[in-house]
Amino acid sequence: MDNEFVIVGAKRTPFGKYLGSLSEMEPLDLAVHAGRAALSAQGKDLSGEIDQIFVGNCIPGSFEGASVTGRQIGLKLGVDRFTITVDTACCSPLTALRLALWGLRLGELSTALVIGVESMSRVPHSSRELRSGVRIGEVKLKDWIFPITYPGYNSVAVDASDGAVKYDVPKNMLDAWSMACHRKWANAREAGKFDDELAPIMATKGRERFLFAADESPRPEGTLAAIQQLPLIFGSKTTTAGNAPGLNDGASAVVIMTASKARALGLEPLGTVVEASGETDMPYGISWIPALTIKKVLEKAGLSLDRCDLIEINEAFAAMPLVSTKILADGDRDRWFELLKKTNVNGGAIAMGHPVGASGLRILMTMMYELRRRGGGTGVAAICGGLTQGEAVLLKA
Amino acid sequence: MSEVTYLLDKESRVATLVIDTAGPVNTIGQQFLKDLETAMARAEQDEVRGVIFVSGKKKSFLDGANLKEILTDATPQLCRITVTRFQQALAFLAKSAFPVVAVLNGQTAIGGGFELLLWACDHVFATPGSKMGLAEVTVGLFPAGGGTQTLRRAVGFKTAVEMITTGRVGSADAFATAPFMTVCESGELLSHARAWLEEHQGVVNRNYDPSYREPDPISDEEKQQVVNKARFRSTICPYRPYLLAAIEALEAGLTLPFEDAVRNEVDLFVPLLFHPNARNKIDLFFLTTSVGPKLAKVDQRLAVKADRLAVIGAGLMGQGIAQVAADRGISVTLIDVDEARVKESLANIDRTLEDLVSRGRWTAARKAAVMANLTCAADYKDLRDIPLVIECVFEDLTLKKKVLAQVQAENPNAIFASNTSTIPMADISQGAARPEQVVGMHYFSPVPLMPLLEVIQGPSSSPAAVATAVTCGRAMGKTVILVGDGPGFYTSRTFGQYVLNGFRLVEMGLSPWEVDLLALQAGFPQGPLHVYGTAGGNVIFHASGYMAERFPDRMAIPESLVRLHEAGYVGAGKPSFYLDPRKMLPDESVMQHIVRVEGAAKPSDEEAKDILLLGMANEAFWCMSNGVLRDYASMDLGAVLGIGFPDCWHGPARYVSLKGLTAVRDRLQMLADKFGMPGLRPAPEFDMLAACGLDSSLI
Repeated sequence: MDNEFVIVGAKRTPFGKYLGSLSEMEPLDLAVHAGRAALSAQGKDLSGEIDQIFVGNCIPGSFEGASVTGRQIGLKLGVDRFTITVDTACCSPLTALRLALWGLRLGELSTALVIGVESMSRVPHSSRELRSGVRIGEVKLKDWIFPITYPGYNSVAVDASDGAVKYDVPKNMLDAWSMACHRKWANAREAGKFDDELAPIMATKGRERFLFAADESPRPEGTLAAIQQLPLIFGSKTTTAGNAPGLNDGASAVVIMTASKARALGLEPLGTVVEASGETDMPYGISWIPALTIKKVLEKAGLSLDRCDLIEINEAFAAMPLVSTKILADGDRDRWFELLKKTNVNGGAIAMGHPVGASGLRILMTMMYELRRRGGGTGVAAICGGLTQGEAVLLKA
Repeated sequence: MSEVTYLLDKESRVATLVIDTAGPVNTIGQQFLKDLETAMARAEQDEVRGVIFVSGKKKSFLDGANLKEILTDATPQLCRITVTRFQQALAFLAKSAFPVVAVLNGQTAIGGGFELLLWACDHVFATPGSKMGLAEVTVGLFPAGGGTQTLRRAVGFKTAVEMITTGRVGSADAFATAPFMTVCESGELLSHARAWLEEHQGVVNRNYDPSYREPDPISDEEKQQVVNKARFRSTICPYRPYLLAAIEALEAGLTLPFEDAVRNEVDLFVPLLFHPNARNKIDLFFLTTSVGPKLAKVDQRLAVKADRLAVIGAGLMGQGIAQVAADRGISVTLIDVDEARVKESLANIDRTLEDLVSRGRWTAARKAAVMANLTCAADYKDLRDIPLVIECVFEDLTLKKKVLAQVQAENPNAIFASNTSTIPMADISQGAARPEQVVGMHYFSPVPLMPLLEVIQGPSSSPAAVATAVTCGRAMGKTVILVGDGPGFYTSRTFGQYVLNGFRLVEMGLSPWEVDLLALQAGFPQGPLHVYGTAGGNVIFHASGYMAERFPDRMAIPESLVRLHEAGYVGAGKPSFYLDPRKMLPDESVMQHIVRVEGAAKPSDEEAKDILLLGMANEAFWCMSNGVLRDYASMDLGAVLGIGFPDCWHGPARYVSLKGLTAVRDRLQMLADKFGMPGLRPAPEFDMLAACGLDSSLI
């Protein structure tokens, strides 16, 4: 039986900023656009090859119809195959990929389409009070994305900050990492490094119709000093709007299949998914869960971190890559700094944005294309999710 | 809303143009230009018998260009159009058939606003408190609204060169003898203006009058000499293109006709807006005016109301602090060991202020108010009801601790602010009855002139103590940076490294005067060895000894400094590197006390400049690594306002950003290795930033 699974298509929409260029686009259409782009990435339409679809999405309320959002996407793509929609918060698209990997390993599937999508600009305010009527007084409308929190737990901004404090990552460094993120993105973009992954999309906003071709959030002309002056948010010790990503819109998609099928179809394998793992810790451990998940996936694959040429850790906050790499370096400063130099080399969510259900596949494909540009190698991509779950993927390209 | 309102008095046919632009001060932007043009066209159409410019704002008549607007999406073409448009409006008014005047009622006309008075207006009526000047060079630009040509016709060539190259702003009294100005009281402004217009129908604007004679006339050769002198001063450091442009424009006026000379201003001005050093100065202006007041974030509700304070130690520093506080309406008790000494200090303040009054800089009323707010005492019992005590005694830990104990024995609730320049709060407050009341307020000398205050948060300082120090400092008109504790805090430590590096260069074989010249070329206001003599060698020796003790591996005291101190070469009246520090005449005899480092390589000029400039920047970065500094805005603001880091570079953080962090780190490491200077070992901050992948964009 086949035991090598390869990615043969990986594309995403450019990420729009909050209330920006994609804010009037339906998440359904973003997902379909990314899906189509991934399916046809190698010049032939792979729709007919798909055995199952896996979709990650955190806030289905942003869709016009808020259930079986994955199936809606599949139907609009014209792929009438069983579709699973999963929510493990920001882990969702990588959980979806892991589900696909299970199916492939079991031999039940030979090809799967994996999609992640989020439209944070389109999340409605809502109220539970209206259904039974309001007798008197004001009605409070809940905002599901401000702050992002879960009943009975801290805001994630606070947990991220506490993690930075616990592992002695100073605010100055969180801010420096964040400014660097914008610069790294700008340098990468100038070198055309996002051309492989981006699928420009015709967008409509108001009366405007335009081609949306590049990430909209990065602010490479900013300064570290300006970031340092931003106020702390949600009562955290170090988190500001400057060392966190925005609330974004976008979708990403990956086609994964057995290596033998790729050979049979004459497709070039873009990367091989070696292993994938999920991990949890106490609900406040969101900043370090990428480290624990990376350790787990490496152990499972019998590989040491030194063998990894690139690391991608999603920047839900600047604390995530910094705390996690520090743990992976066992607190050794020199080793930590060496790890940082191969982490998120083309920038991350703080610049590009973090459409929560789409970022997982984005970090995977950004890393995959960078490995290919470097002539191949091994990389590990990890993401944290709400209430402290983590997903990590080990990939060779 | 129109930014220039046109009001026509039907009977007299005199139009009043009221300037009131968006924002707290009147500035020149696109909207202003458009509205000015509309108002001018109406005046012409209505065939008015005169125009009076007034301002709708209380303190601002018209204060220069709206730089934020001009620099947003700026292109050279757009900037050229804007400047030309402003010049054309001024020329139109000057050449119009009707006379034009302006009235200033205690308001300011800076930069482009003053140029409106100098070019478009046939006469100006101002109250004594009104202020005007061409301050463009202080924001990295130069007067390009005709200023380099029109000011000389108002005040004479020599004064014009001085005012433009220094950016000096003067009160109306200073122009009282200028033929275009009438200084009068507020109530008489408009009546005088109207009468003048009536009497001067058909007047020819002085800028277009071939028979007009410039005040203070000097020969063409003398004018050229004035230009040459100014050019010599301004070209020592090649990174101030705005000064060069100003001098070029002034010089061009010596040969070109008026209209060509003002057009020439535009050619010189436009590229300047895109020059990195000019941008640094503009950004520094915004850092000081917009960011500065928001730095040092404290909870103001915690601040103790300091409407009264006491200053202990009535030396020069104490007198300065007392004077500035009293000038801001705070009632001050000045305390020293005996009554006679305090009385002498008060007399000294009195003399200083009297001098200001006699030179017309201050009104007698202002001086009287200051003196009324000052009382003296020699007994700590007088501290009982005073909420804030600022200590300025000699820089000696034992003495400071003793003063603290005495103060807290009388009034344990008082916030105790130490005006130390080097001793950490942790040391001063150690063993104190209430260490949480202790905070640092590090002023700079001379206090009335230096804009910076460094507030030091010690490990025990309470939030209330820090809030009080910051709030009181702001009330005294200072730009406040808040820093963490440590020997020499931020500014003294960083400045100390600059002076010590000067000594080290001399020990490696450069002449002291060469080192000072190189420092000026790098953009410093004063060379390190010159500073040694003017700031006082005793202070520097003691501070250096203290720093060497605290940072033995990076700030060892140069042997020559010890020798000079022993030999009594300590400046401030005693011998130093100069026979006369003002005229900068070298005192060669100093060389007998200089110890040459055996076998050391002699740094090239470029290396020496980098040792001074990057050495200072590196120490600032060490302060970031040590947590003394917490942000880059405070780093740059403190370095330029407090310790003479070249303003044309905006500060250490901007300088390093422009040069590239990695390049600076490598250069520092090279210099440290080559010359055996451990102080130049790059700060860990560089490694952290490099690990994050940041090579620029600090500020």
